[in-house]
Amino acid sequence: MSATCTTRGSLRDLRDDQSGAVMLIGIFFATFLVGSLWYLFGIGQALIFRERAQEVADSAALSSAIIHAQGMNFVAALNLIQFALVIGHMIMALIWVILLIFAVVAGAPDLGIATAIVEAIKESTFTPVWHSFDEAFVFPEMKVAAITQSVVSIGTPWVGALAGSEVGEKYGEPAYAPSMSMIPTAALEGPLNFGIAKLFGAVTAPPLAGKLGLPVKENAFSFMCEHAFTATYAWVRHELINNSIYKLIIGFAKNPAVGAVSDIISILPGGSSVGAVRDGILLVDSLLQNDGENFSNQINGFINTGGGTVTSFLLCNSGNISFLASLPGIKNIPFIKGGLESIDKLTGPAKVAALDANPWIPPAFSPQWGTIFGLGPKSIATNAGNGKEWMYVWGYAGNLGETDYYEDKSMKFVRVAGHGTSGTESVERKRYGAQAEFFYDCDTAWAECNAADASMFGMRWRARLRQMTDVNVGAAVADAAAVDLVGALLGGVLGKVGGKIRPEQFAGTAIGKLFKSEGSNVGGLGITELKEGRVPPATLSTGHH
Amino acid sequence: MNTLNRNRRHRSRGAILAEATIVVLSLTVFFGGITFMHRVLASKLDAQHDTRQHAFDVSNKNCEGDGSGTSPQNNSFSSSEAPLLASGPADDPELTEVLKLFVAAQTPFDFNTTSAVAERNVDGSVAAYSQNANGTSSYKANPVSATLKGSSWVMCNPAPRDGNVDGFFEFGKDYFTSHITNLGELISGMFQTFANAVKGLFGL
Repeated sequence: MSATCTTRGSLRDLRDDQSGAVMLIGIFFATFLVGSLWYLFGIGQALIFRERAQEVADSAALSSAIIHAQGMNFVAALNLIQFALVIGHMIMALIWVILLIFAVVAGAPDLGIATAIVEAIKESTFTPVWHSFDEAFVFPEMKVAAITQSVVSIGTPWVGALAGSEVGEKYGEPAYAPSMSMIPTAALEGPLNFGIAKLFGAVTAPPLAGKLGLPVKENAFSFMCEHAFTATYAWVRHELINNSIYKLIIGFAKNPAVGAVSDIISILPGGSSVGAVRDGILLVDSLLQNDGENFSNQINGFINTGGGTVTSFLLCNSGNISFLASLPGIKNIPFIKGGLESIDKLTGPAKVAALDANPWIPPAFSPQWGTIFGLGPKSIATNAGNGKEWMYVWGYAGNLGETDYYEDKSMKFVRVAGHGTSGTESVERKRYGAQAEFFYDCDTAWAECNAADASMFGMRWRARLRQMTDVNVGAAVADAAAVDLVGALLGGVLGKVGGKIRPEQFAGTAIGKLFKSEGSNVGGLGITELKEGRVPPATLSTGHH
Repeated sequence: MNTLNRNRRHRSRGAILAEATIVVLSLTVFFGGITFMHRVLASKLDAQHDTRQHAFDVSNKNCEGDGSGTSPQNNSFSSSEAPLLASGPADDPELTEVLKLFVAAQTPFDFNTTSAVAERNVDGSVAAYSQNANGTSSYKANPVSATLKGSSWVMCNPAPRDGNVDGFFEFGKDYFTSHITNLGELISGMFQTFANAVKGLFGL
């Protein structure tokens, strides 16, 4: 037997030997199954991981949007504080007017009405009290509140981003939450705004037209006066409508039987007045109810707007007071007319000093009703509103950087599904994104919801997830820049009166001269002398002779 | 010769029987493993979905009370928790205690963040369900089982408050409760996050 024959024999034996055949197949299948199981487990883990990664993005976006909503609520709460301070100012104004009326009534028989008014204003002991009140409890607090609002407005988007990251950390994954509020559009127009305003002799910086952070814009402090009127009007209307006597009268007038009787009486000689009275009562009720009728809404809108503007002009006037001096009733009183006009022509500290030194002038005409460094109470930004792009917040899970890789430390089997081996190495994947937005929680459309800037006087800001939307950030910023540029020009030109259109703001121009009233001297003293400080401002207080 | 062949056949049958037994057992074990894995992954997904749903739901309800708008003071279960109880024996004292913890633990804000933690065993029943509470033990885990935990976090949505005197003070109360009392923690957390972000950015 040769070795070759032996080898051939062994191979033949091996070929013919069937023992262990099933084992071989079993081992093969077992190995295959182990591999499949391993792979399937990786797929399962990858599914879970992707679910979780999307959740990280959702949580980051929503958490950041919630911080934005909290910021908006905080800004609104500070608006309410400023509102309350202005109400205090207005109560003092009311007391001042009541005392003035008493003084005029008492003095008129001896002095005549005009002189009695002058003396009452001059000698009023309440005016300095009003000054002290405003200086202690109104102006400083309003300024602090406005600056705080702006700080909150700027900081909130970044705190929101940190909150998004922090939530991501709780999941053990990096997360980022940028928002549109991080873009300070006011930075585009701020210097331009004040620069133009200075050219036109603004006392204080006009309110910034753009936003600093959160979608809110600045207003002069006189803005609060308008809202004080609007709120007071709404309150009075509400109280009146719900008054039992009023309800009784309206119920009587609306009764069909009364209507029928009224119609019968109306056709009788001299009876038409009965019908007219009833019609008048129903009309007043329609107006007060603001019941959705177009006419009623328009009237109420007109009262709100007009009343607010007048209130602001009379009680919170930061700029032009010579217009007030030119009003028919006032221009016949040289003392008031001259004093107001002279002070109006001053700017900056000289004006403040003149007002301080003339305590007979109520604090209603303080330059402090303007802004502080362009900051003041907040209203919603021009292009912002529920559902608008400036309210958007995004959340991303994954590293920001050159690659779309992240360190997978939580689910090592995820890599298996990516044809790798288990471990904690980098895993390629898509970045996960989500979008949220903050919104003002109300039941109606935005225009109605935010009527009279209501969204900035209620703490109803909340956040929600929303469908991912493509936003052309560049276009949005360009749009805001265009608005801001116009705002800067208008704000600059009109800044002297805190954004209100007043003809006198065109001082030095032909238009301005047309409107400008005469009488720039007080007691024979020129404005130049006054500006240069050669005349004690106190002279104004006796400069009516 | 015939006897030899018969003996060989008998040996082959015995070997095949033994091998088949091993293979069938192995396949059965693998099948069991696959089934177990399926349950593990399904339970993991369910746990994650549960926690996400609950955390976001509680956040949407301003993290007030137990998240369903009812007062947590009496530690009684509200109707919104019925589904959680439905999948497990509601009369079990251990689970009841866990769920009491769940209700009681919802009131305090954690960084003004709501979190939900769900633990499930492989048969899919809720083992324990807690919020703002960590490490609740599994319920009736089988000898061959895995306890899986899903966790979700999201910040609390602010409660809407009207712009009147009541609303203002309610807002103030919310704010002080959720922010000021945790101010130190908030600041340190922010610094920590910032530090981590810087580290991540520069690969430190």
